[in-house]
Amino acid sequence: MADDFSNDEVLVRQLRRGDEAAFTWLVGRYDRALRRLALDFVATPAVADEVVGDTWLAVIEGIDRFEGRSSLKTWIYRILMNKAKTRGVREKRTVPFSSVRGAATGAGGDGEFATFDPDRFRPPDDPDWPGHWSSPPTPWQEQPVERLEAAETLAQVQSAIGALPANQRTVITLRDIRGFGSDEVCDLLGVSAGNQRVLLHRARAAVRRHLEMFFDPAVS
Amino acid sequence: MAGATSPPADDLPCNQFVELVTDYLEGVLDSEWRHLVEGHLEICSGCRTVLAQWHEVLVLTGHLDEHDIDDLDPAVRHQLVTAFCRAYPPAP
Repeated sequence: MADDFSNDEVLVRQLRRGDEAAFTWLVGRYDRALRRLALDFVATPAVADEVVGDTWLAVIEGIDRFEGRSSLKTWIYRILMNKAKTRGVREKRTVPFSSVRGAATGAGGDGEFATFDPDRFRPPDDPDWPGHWSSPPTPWQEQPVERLEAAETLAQVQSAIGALPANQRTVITLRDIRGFGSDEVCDLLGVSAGNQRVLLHRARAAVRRHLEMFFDPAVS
Repeated sequence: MAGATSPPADDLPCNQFVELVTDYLEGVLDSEWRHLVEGHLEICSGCRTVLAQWHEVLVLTGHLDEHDIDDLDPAVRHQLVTAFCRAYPPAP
């Protein structure tokens, strides 16, 4: 029976035994994801490749010392992040996670952020419903299911995420694609829980907006 | 909100609700804020739609994972596996 490499215990045991199939599985599972993440922290694809290569070597050398206090996945990502950040600092291209709070409150950074265009709400001096919808969103459930789940829709999500600022892209990728918990993401990125949530919220808001325009081009 | 002429005195306006969606879903709002959010959701179909869309975004984004699997440059894979085999020669 084939080994279940998605089970950390099995995977680590087989890696320590020098099981080539286990390592091939591991690389196939994470290499592209690591590469994409590394690119958020360093200047060029070539440097990202080096960082990822160094990470795999560190995994190979360090697997005997892996203690299982986190998942293997978290352990590998942490190695990658440390290497990527070190390279990024050297190249003066780190993602400015620390500056997000200022940006979140509208004090500089990427300027005013709003989850929805302010024009979609009634003005503050509206006599009846200030701040409530004047142009509420249309439910997507009215979209045919085939359209909601089509590859074309996923491609839209992918391109929306690709267009995000690097720090938002990193957070939404780790949280919503790679399935890390908020504590793990804070730990990996060295960012506070509050900043992590701000970045996550903005990223999800951007994806939502992108999908809304895709489903309903009349919405500006 | 149809029918009523004005919101309850303690209602959370929609433009504030939409900024709190992620905090709400992450479970980090204190009980007072959570109460405001949930009270507002009861009376506002527009904001219920926002919440539903937020869930949809999470589901669709989660689907992207599969795209990354088994899609690695064979040359890169070979290089890495060779390094692994050097470090861990299989037992005879």
